[in-house]
Amino acid sequence: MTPASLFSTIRTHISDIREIPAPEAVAGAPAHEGKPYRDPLLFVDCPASKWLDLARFLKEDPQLDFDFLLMVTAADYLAPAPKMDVIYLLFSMKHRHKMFVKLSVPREGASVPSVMGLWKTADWQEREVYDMYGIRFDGHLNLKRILMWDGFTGWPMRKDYVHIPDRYDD
Amino acid sequence: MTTEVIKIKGADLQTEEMILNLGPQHPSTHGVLRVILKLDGEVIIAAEPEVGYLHRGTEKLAENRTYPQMLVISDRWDYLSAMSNNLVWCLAVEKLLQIKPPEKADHLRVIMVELNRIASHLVFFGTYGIDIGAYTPFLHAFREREKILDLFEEVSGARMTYNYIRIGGVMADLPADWVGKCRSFLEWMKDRFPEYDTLLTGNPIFQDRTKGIGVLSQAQAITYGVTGPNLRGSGINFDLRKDEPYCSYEKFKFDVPTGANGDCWDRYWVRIQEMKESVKIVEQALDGLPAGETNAKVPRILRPPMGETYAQIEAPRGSLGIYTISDANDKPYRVHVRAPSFINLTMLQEILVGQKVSDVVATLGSIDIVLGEVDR
Amino acid sequence: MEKSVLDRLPGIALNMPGGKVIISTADYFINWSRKSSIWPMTFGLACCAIEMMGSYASRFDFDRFGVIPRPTPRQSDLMIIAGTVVKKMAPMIERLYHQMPEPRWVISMGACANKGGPYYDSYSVCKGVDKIIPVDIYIPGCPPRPEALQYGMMELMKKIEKMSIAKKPELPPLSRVR
Repeated sequence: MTPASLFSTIRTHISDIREIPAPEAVAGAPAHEGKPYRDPLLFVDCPASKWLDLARFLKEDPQLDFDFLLMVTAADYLAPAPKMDVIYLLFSMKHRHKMFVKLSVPREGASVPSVMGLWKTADWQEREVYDMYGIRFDGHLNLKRILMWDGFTGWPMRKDYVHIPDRYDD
Repeated sequence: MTTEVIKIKGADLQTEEMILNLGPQHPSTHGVLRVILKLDGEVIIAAEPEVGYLHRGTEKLAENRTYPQMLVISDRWDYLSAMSNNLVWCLAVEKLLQIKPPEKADHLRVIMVELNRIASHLVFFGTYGIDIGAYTPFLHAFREREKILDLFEEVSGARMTYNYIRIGGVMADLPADWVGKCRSFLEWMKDRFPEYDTLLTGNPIFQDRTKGIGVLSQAQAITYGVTGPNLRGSGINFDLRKDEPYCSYEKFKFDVPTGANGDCWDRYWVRIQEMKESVKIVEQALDGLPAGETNAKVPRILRPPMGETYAQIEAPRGSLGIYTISDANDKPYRVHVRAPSFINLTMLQEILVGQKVSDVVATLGSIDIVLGEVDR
Repeated sequence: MEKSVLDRLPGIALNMPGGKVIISTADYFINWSRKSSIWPMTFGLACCAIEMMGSYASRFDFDRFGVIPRPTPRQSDLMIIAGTVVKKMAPMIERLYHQMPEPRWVISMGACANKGGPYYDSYSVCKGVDKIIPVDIYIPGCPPRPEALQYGMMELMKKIEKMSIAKKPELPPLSRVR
């Protein structure tokens, strides 16, 4: 299914979704930068409260049939507005189409419903996002740090993370 | 004198579950992986892998490295198949920059990546033999691997972390007699496959230890996000080289082997067959090697335009993907590596339940993880 | 605790006239046996481990040096730290080092184990394994060739030749910044 028909199918079920527009060119950029890059995949923005509904619809609707969760990650933005994005990449084995879903969450106290019940691969990937960014996932059965050690304080991938040197650093 | 046979009924015995720590330092964990096993006697009730013992923070380092500098870091994710890592990073950046490398560069990239696939599967073959208890195939596998590393050393200067596939093409053209040496290596390699069959594939002890062990069903594979030979071992025919071809793979004719049952034997068998298919692909690429430039025109300081992209390739371990967000700077804003070994490892929690302790090593080895990729 | 013959020999021999000849002869044979059969613990962490495995394998055979990998620290003399030392793994490395019986040596293989390597500015990498355990030989490279590892092993053998039972081996210093 093309991105346009995917978007219209999803829109009929959940109306809160918007398609993320292409990025804007940076003003005053040198000539080489050219136009902003627009990936041909569908990028969809969803509010965090509707995520579980959307995920269930995407997985179970026979036309969409997104049974493969390829990637769960996050990104942190300080400018122009402080927010964090949780980014999901979904793929359908049967129809062979892909789409991105992005959830915007505030930087402090962010909490997103976990899709561990729908795709088991979200288990460790959500733990990694929690470990690196501090975003909590409600309904995750085992939300603890996965890559850093248990007593570590701080969320390393955040843009304002300040590293305190310890005995292992120079 | 008659001997008395004492029958012990299960209800009388007080059994407790035991926690066994397959610690970070263990000869068979293929690196620093810790698996915490809960056992009831010899049967595993629960298995929890613990990772992070090789977490080097490359995603944070990416914010401080320019795009070509990240190539050096990318070598070290899946260090057994460094060419694939280089290729996926270059594909992602080339998508952002909207440049297409010339045809000769595509052929060279395919040759290098497929030779690297053979080298990586040889390491799997050797170390899986050691895991099961056969020490000799390791020496055979590394003898072949040294020949491939010789070829790579002539082309790129390094044995393991090549940095050969660059943004816009490849580092340099092939040296004068490389094609002849590569062809003689391929002839040598084709004679080795019957040798591997007698050493390990046809060995009844090996077959007993791997058939019916660690079964991964198709539904489990899809919900756990498993890709690569693990997915194909369960019978699902999904190979990015055929389904979403990149780098002119659509020109080459090869088969995609799939297994039947999803046990350790099938995953092993798929990888041996993949080595044979890779030999075919390299031969076809060498036959059709075009003349021309090896590099597209790429500016000195790379500043990709604003935007984000996802590029993926079929690495020897699965579908390796890079998700980059660029903010028109010379350093990336965000890089995320969709590491196949990290995601494949989650299936260990489910396929080990109900197995015996002695099968843990066989199952773990058949997933073929590389800790550099699991922890990044 | 009862002292072994080797522990008591310097005390006895140095008091005899010409006792130093006994010590030096004993040293020669003890050092020869120690350097000819160094048994390292297989402790590959990352990419350097593959080059270490390559040096044990067919082409760069390590067995001709008498080097056989042992899986357990209790039965090994040498620990080759091959790969990046991550802060999460550092306490285990210390524990394994303390589990090795003396005389024990450490080879730090690769740029990551020497000083942090390509990850010199990472938040989770220990900048050099010599912050945790004393290192005898440093082998540069990323990854070092198997021949480089074998050359490092030969330098370690030269270091062992200089040991003597009459003096305690001095440990190399830790490079810990307070």
